[in-house]
Amino acid sequence: MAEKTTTLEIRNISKVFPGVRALNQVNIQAKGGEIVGLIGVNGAGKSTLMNILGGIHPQTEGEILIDGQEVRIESPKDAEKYGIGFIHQEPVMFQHMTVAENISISRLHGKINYRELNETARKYLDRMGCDINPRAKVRDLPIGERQMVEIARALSSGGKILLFDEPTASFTDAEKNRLFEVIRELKRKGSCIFFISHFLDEVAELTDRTIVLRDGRVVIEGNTAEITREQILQNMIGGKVAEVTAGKERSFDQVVMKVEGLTRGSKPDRVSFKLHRGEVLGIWGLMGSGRTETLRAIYGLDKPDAGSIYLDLEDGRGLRRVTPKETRELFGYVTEARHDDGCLLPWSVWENMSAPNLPSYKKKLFLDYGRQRQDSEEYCKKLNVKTASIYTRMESLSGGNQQKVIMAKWLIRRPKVFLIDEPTRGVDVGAKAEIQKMIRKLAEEGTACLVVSSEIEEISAVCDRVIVLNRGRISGELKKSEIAKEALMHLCV
Amino acid sequence: MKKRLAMVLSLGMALSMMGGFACQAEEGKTLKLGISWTHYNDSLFYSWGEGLEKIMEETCKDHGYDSVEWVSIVAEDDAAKQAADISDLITQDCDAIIAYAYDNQAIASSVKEAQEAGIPIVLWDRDEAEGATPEADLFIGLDTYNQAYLAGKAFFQKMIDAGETPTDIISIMGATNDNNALNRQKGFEDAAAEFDLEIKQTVPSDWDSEKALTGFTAAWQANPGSNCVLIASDFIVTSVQTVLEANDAWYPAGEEDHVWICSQDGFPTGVKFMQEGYMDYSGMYNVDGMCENFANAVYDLIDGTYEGEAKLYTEPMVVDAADVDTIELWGANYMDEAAE
Amino acid sequence: MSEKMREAAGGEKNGRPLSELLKNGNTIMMLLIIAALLILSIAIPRFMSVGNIFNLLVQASVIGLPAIGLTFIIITAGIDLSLPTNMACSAILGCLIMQKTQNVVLGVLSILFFAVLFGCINGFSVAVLKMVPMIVTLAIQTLNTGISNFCTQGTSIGGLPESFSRIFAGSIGGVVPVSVLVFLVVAVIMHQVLAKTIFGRQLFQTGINERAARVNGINTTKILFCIYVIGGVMAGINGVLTAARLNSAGPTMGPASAFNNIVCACVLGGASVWGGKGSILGTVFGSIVMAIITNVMNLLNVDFFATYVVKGLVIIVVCYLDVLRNRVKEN
Repeated sequence: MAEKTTTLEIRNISKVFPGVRALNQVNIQAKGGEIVGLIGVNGAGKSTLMNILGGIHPQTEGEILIDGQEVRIESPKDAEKYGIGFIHQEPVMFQHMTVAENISISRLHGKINYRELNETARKYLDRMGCDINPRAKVRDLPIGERQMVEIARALSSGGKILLFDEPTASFTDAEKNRLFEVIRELKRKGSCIFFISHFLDEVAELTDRTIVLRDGRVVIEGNTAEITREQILQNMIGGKVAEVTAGKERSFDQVVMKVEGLTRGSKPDRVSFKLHRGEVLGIWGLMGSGRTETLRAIYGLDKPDAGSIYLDLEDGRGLRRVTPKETRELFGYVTEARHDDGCLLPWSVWENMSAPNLPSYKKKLFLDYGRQRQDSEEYCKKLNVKTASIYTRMESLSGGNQQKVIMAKWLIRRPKVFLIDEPTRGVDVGAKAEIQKMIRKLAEEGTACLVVSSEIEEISAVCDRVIVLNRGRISGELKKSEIAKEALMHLCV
Repeated sequence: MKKRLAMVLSLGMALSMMGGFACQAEEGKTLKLGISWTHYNDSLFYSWGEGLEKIMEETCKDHGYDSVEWVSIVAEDDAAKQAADISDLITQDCDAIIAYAYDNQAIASSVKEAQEAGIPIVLWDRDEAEGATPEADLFIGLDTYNQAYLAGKAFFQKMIDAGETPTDIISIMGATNDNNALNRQKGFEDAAAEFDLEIKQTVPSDWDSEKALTGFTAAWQANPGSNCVLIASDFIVTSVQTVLEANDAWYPAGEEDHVWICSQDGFPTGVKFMQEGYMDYSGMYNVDGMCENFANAVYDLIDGTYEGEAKLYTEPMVVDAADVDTIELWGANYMDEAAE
Repeated sequence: MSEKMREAAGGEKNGRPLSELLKNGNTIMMLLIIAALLILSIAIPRFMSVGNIFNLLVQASVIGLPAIGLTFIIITAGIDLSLPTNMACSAILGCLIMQKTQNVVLGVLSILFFAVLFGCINGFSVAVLKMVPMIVTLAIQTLNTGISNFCTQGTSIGGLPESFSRIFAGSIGGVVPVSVLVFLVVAVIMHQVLAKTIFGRQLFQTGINERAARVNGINTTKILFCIYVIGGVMAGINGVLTAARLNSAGPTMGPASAFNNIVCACVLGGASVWGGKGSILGTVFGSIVMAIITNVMNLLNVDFFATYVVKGLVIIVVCYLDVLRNRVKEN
């Protein structure tokens, strides 16, 4: 295997969309055996650059050279031909097909040898240290495992140049470390790797070189070891950011919600805890530990097999048992997968904001549209949602603003308990800090929040207390001062 | 805006197409006749339509009209659409309306509507249900009892003359709720009775060649010795052919194992089988006779001076296979289409 | 510009400022109809007669009533193939009762009852048993046809009380046919329900993204059940009016093929077979356009086979419109 290593050269690439110059004279060089980190806030041009390499959009000008040869990448098929593998941010897959079929999807034609197919899938999944069953249907996998399949697919098509577009967004530490091992292994074998991430820590840990994009230009480039975190942050947003830092311990006395023995199959399994007024309680656990399932059961979406939820409705009667119908009316629930079940993409901002609160806008037989829009205007201002107007369609907002609209729709109803699953997934750095601050502020105003997050930084910044889930059960509880990586990991293995 | 543009263009296209297909009315005093068909996809309907056009063209001058304008609409086997179609014909001030009723009960409401508008309405081939009111101004149909009775009588006579004894007679009838089908079955029965014969087995087909095929397959298995099949309409003959071929019994007249067949209507397939000798007798539609009856009555109906019968049953044409090439038959005009 | 197009394609957008109205698909649709009517009234002298206009509206109501029901269903990306056969079957069962008892009120109520019953079966199968709408309603279609033919032995039920057709097939003041009036009243009510009530907004949410709708606290099972019942109600009303017009009820009055016109009316009116879109106003306009097409072809005495060609083209154009509206937006 003493071949010469792959080289990739991007020369003066520009991309113009109607009204927007997404990329402006970008020059990047990379070679096999190197991991290049690509950082930038949403809209900086990272995804556009990746889409050009992946054959999804052609560049407006400039050229791409692979191994010194100029290539034209006009379709994803071309990209595959030139050895470019693309791991998407949101896994794009055939939900009704098996893991193995998805991994070999581009080679599925003629008579299919399923044994061979499954073995191939097994081989790549093993290399990643994943024990996903190749025969499982993709739609049955949690979102994190789907991403693993996506990576295995890119690996299996023989990519020499691998583009990872925020692959770790939905990963736990263990999965992330496994992925990093795989990436380093690929690097040793001579692959050229591009790694896009919002997580500065990950970029610092993994990459050899860091490139920061802003407004379609490369603003800083250099060896990762030589660039400081502060430098990167400044160049990303062109100014200083204040990151949310861990606050001090607070004490609570008034119990708002009590969950007792909540069970649904194996996840959650006999989950009991108390939530206080003004408290942010974190739920932490590995992928598949039942965090989302627990939230869904508390919110009343999935009928639990056993257990009950007690709520203090502030009517002087103290805690009393509530039905799923009541919790669905009283709670707010920000889901983990924004595009999947979090919002109505073709609807406008105001329509999304009033969607769960229609009964409160009832005016005789009909709905009061004036009041709906008034509330939307108010909350757009309050939460600093960047949108042209409340009539703008949800799908044309950026991820961070979509997330704010989703938060707003629940805040309008003043939820008794606010359930938030992955509050800042796929959100750029600026919006991330805003959302985290918002959660803190809500809590200080008295709302009880239940936050699920895979990011330890987020958990420690936002939460007053953390419960750790392990295979559907609560395996431990940590106070704010005790929240640390080691302690959390200790509880979930 | 592309979507809206596409819409405008397509509407425009559709409208201009309609314009292109539309027939232009001629100058002078025009007789305007509306026809509402249930469907228009077999040769009997073509034959009726062309027969009517021809005879009206010939006779209109004698009654003071310069030309005839036809408005024909097809209801696509939908009773509600037929009612709407006849409303459209009334809106257009047709001088008279001909309707081939899809639903013999529901047609009464259209008859009422036409009569209230003062337009005479003629029902063609299929009469109103018994007791339906009001009655149409005129019904023109075939004497379906005589069709089967006369053809059956001549058929049995021919068989006996040839020295054969009709045994295990099988009859394939139409729908059990259709007057024409019942009349034909009765006609065949009475014809057989004249020769002291009896129909051994009756296969109901619901006017469906698929059902006829399964029914006749079973009947033939039960009566392998049969040498004589009576059929309610020509389009079922191909089902009989399939069964007989499978049982090695499909031979033309003159050969030893010939199964004698008497059918009805005179569709091109029937005419072809008669020419080839597989079918022996047929009671056919007298298309020209029906059209003549219409032409004789319609001018008086329009003037309000008609005094003839309210129901005109045209005599059928009973045709021997031996004469098939010497007589002018409506079905023979459509042989080329049938061959395709 | 593309934003405006999306707005227009979105159908109902409530309580928008007046200027927004011009961007609305329905407004453009109405202008198109008016333009077509003007052209036709010049081309065909008798087209604009009062008689023909009401004739046309009666035909539009036959398509429009079930199309209103289908609009609700199509918003959830569902389909109800049994609408025409449900109409025929309920009319037959109800008319049998009416014929036996000679009681018009009882007869009309039975027609509605049976239609709602079939709607409930559809709704229960789709919403609760989670069966595929296409298959369930196809099965109900077959069931309807079976019951219709069994109860009538293929003939039609006549001998109805004279007052039945006098009331329901008559006209107000000898001018406005009852069926047109009923159609318009139903359209206005259903428009309010779809556009301005909680149920309507929740229905759209269910249609756009059922999972998100459930997170928003909506009982999607209830919504799904209700829309098929609404379909049944519409089929029932249509059954009463059609039976009165024909003064009889038979299996011949609701051929499965009538479904073509119904679904075309919905899609022309901005509903998408992919769900999430649709408006009653649009569907009413769509029904009128479909009726105009048939009526104009009859008035122009278009050749039979050409009418099939035109209808085929209309269906293709309509389907393509649906694709255009739903094409994945690039950039």
